[in-house]
Formats: sequence, structure tokens, C-alpha cells
Amino acid sequence: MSFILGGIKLSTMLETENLKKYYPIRGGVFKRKVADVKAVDDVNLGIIKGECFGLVGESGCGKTTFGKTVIRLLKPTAGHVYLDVPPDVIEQIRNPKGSSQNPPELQKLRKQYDIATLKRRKLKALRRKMQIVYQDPSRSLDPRMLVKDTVGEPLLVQKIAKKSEVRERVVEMLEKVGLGAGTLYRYPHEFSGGQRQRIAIARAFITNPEFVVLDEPTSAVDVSVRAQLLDLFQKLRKDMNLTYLFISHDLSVVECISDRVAVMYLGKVVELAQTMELFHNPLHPYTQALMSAIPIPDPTVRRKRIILVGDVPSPVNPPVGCRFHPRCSQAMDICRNEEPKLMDIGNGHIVACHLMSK
Amino acid sequence: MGNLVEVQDLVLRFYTYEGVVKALEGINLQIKEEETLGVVGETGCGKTMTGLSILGITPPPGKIEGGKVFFKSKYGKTVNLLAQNERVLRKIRGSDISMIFQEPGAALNPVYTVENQIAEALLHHRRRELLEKVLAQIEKNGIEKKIYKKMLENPKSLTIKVFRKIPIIGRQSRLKKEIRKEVVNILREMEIGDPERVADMYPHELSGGMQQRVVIAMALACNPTLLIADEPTTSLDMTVQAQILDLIRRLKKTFRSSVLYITHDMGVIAELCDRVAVMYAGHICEVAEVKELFKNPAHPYTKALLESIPRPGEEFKSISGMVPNLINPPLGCRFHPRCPFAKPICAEEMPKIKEVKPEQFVACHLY
Repeated sequence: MSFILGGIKLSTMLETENLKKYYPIRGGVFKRKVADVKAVDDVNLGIIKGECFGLVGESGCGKTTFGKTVIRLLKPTAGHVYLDVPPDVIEQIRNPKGSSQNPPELQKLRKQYDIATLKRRKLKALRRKMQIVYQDPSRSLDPRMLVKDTVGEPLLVQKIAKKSEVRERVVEMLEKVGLGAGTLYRYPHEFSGGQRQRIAIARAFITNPEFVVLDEPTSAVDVSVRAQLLDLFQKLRKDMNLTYLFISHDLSVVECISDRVAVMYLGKVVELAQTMELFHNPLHPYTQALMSAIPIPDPTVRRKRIILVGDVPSPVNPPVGCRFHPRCSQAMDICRNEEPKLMDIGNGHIVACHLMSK
Repeated sequence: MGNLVEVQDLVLRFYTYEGVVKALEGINLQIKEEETLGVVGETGCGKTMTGLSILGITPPPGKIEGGKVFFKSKYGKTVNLLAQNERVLRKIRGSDISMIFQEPGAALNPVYTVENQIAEALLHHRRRELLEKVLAQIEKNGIEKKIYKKMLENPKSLTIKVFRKIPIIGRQSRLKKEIRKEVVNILREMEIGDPERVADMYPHELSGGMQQRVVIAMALACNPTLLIADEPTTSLDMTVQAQILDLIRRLKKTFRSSVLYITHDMGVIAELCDRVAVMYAGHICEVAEVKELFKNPAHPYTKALLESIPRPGEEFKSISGMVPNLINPPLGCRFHPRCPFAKPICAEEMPKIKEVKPEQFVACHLY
């Protein structure tokens, strides 16, 4: 996949190729595998350097699993992940020279660049480039570690700074996120939710990462604090030249912060487009329902709602054909039998729906 | 339309080791008949405590130190809920006023089936009505009729107690069948598909949205005149939230009850409510009609709250500073340290709530 926007070819920060993550369900006497929870099923995504990529969907659709898998906190079941790999190398992997009769060389390239197969030392070296901020800071921070230790630990683990320099770096980072040096010798429980999230952000950003996964970073805080945090994310992105994967179920937040947005349903990407395009011209019936469910903070506006019936089906046994067809109001016969493929309808707008090919 | 609930100068304090937490300081609220009143504010501003105080179930070490809550009960009598004893309150809770909580998973008992849990509310408040229905079904004037009559007249008599212990009779009791019918009816009313099957399920077998529907079914089992909904959709997904909001809106019409809707989501307020009360640090700062509040917010805090809603293409605006500690709240107006319009008087004197426009009440020195 290459991205050409406004005539400029953009290089990608992250690319996934047929990424799958299944969680086995074990049962019976011998704890044999009886089924799989298909949390992420065959996802191909490319995130452009320097953009904020939004990923939305209901709970259980595989957003968080996707976020954790691309930075190898989880080992993918199948597929490949390339982080900050030169475009010509990706091209080489995609279309190996001398048709496809070149397995050893391809294997070598993959071994070198594919995060999905990297091992210990190489992976650890890569970890400083990719970081994550979790949803609930009261659970992602160690309650028994001082702020200076929490924030400074990545520096020591990655051997980025000497012990004597750590303090200086930590203070610098804390000031960047809006906390002062006075917070160094305090414990997480002494802070409010918003401040705790700032500590978690400082910890993630201190290694000077290039790619950060933000896993619902604002859903555990209040409305007024949410705006502060979003502002901070924007500022840091500009200052540190970052690429974000912003995972959220709150569409109004995603609309404000993301450049491009992908919608996930039951482990699959169903629609992807520029933020403006997606919010003003949603094409997939699921995206349309999702958009119409956002409550508008204006009592004079009344919108026609599309209310979905039923619940999200189990990802253990997803519906055959289009995964959305049991809840879709426009389902046709073909939807029940054949899975729609993602197709580009121009302007970088990609949809997986049979309605588009009519 | 008259007031269903009138809260006057309600004061709630928590006595903790660190000091006295002044959770609610002089709350004045009116809920009219058949209206939806939204209560909005940040975490810890006392939204939930207001709801719990009306029901008289504030958790220890909380103590209601003053104020009155007048409630017009189903039979037209107006009572001060805070002056009633526990026996009277138990009759009101669940039948006149009921509550939906934030976490449906935590509000349901994991070891009882859905039918059992809804039946509990029915048996507690509508036993008489159900027994009369059963009696009307029995035509023969035999021993069966005698037993049910006795149940109706003297439910604590020894014969009834003994009869109940006999398993076969208990299982085939007409009362049980009647309750089952009623439970299935209520579940159907909540738009639950296949209510017969759901009635026999345990809470963990249901999804979050279904659980919340069951909780709403329990709350509405006895046709309450006031429903207190404490962030019922916060833990649910966007599409499920839309379903539940739609359900609440429809049920409010069919049951003709008032709703006190507690939330921090301005979007939900705009969709659902008729009037809104904005709370900050244990005070009410503004009460107004929903359209008026969104169009012309009067209190600086309301303005700031509305501005902090993220809008595409605009910069993120937030309220500077932090929510004050309620053990040691700022003197005067509690919002003044964060208020851009603060005047010297704001730090000295607590502003009183007054009507600045018809139906718009504001507590601020600017007016």
C-alpha cells in the first residue's frame, strides 16, 4: 500500500499485512483447543508518518487487541507488522524479485524487519520507538513506585541515560506534560485522574518514541480534563514529531483529533477514510448507525436515529458472509453468503460493503 | 403541573478521618410531574449523592444534616422523606421512587435468575394485587381458595408458613404462575426478545445492554412516579446507549413518570431532558430549560462546561485549575478560583440562587 495524497507520496510509519490475533478457548479433559476468539481477523492497515490515526468500534470489536498486537505486546497468530521500514524494502517484500520464487531472501528480509517475528534483543531495541498509554491510569501505574521511578524506569531499561542524568530528563519530561519537579517524590494515589494520566503519558513519551498507541486515554477522566489531555496530545505530537494510533469508542473525540479514521466491527475493518469524509459521508451501514448514535450536545437539533437491533455477535462464531448482516437494515442475499472485500471508492475512502458494488 | 419532588436546603456531610467532607451544601431542586430533569457536573460534585439522598440511602459515614425533601406520593399525600422512619421509606422505595445504577452488572445479584430478582420487587410491593388476581381465577370454593384468602388476610399465619415448606405445593402455586406472567410482561415491555427464556437466565449470561434492560425492568415493575437514573449508559457502548435512551424516553411516556437523569455527558442531556441542573462542588449553580441552557448559559461554570465539549476544527478549551477539595472548599463562591469573571465579592460571599430570567435560576454574583 502506498499513500498518495495531493500528489505527494507519503511514507508509512506502520503497516500490517493480513494481521490476525486469535485467542484460543480450551476445554475438555486435556485442555485441547476447542475454538478461537477471532479478535483481529485479517487486518491490513497503513499508518502514515506524522498522522493521528483513529480506530473506533464498539467494545469487543478488537480495537485494543489490534493496538497491542502491532507493538508486539501480544504475539500475532498470523500476519506481518512493519514499523518504520523504508518503503523500498516493503516493496521488495511485497513483490519479491524474480516473481515469487525467492523464498530464502524473502525470509531473510522478513526476519530482519517484521515485528511479528522479531526476538528478544532486537525487539527490545525497537520498544523505545513504540509506546502505549492505557485507558485507566490508576491501574497502569504501579501504586508503590514514586513518580520519578515510574517515569525514569524506561530510561534505565533502555539504557538511554545514565543514572546521574535520569533525574534531569524526568523533570524535563514532567514539565512537558504539565507537572512540575515538585511531583517527583510522590505516589500515584496522591494525584487526580487527569494528573495520573499525565504521569502515564510522561512515562510513555520519555524514550522519545516515534509511534504511540493511545488506548482510550481519555475515557476514564472528566469532560473538562479530557479537553486538557487532548490538547496535550496535540502539542506533544507537534513537538516530538509523533505518529499516533488513537483507539477510542468516543466518536466525538476521534473526530477532533484524528486525521484518518478506521471503523472496526468484529475484528475486521469495515470502513476507512479521512476524518471529514468519514463523518460527513459514512457509507457502510454500520458506520452510519454508529454516527447517528452520537448524542449531539444541542437540544434544538433532532436527528433521525438509526437504532441497531440486538447485540454484537460473538467473535467466536462470527456470522457467515458480511459480519454485519444480521443487524443491517439493508442486507441483501449476497451479504449472507459472501464476505465483502475492502475497496477503494476514491479519495482514500475504503469500504467493505456489497452495497458499494451494486 | 405541580412539583413531584421538592428538595429544600439539603445538606449532606461525610465525617471522615481527614475531616468533614461537605458533599452537599444547601441543594434546592424541584422535579415537576412527568418531566425529565437532568443533573450534570464533574465527578465528585454530588450528583449521585443528591439522588441517593432523595431515596434516603446515603452511604455511611454520610449524614444528612439538614433540609427537607417533599415528595408527593401516589395517593396524593405529600410527605417529607427525610423525616420518615425506615418502614415508611421501604414502602416508598421501589414502588414510588426507584433507581437505576451505573453498572448493571453490579446492580444485579449474580446468584438469582432474572425472574427471581424482578419477582422480589413485585412480591414486596404488589403482593395484594397479585393475590386478588389469583383469587379471582379460582372458582371452586374449596381448600385452595381458603389458603389464598388466608394468604391475603394474614400472610404470617402458621398454616401458610407450613404450606410453603411443602415443595410440590410451592412449585405449582398459582401465585408463582401469576408472578411469572407479570415478569414476562414487564420484560416484553423492555423490548427484550424472547422474554420467556431471558426470565430464566442468570445475569452473567446477558450482555451489558440486556442487563441494563433487566435493571430498568426491576425499577419499573411497580410503576414508580419518580425514576432516578444514575448514569445508566456510561458503561455501555454508543449504539447500545442509543437503544437504552430510546427505551427510557418511550417508557417515560407510557408510565407517565418523572425522571431524574444524572450524567456528565452534555450530549445525552440535550437529547433526553426537559430541564437541567448544573452542579459544582456540592452546589447547584444553574437550573434552566434545556434549550435555554445550551443557547444562553448564564453561570460561568456552565459556559466553561459547554465549551469543553470537543468540536471538530476548533481548539480544545478546558477549565483551568482543578475541582476543589470538599474538606476545605474555597470560601465564597466555590467556583471563584477557576472563574474568569471572578470579582472580589466572589471570594467572600456565597452567591444565592435567584431567578434571572423566567425559569432560569443562577447562583452567581454577576447577576
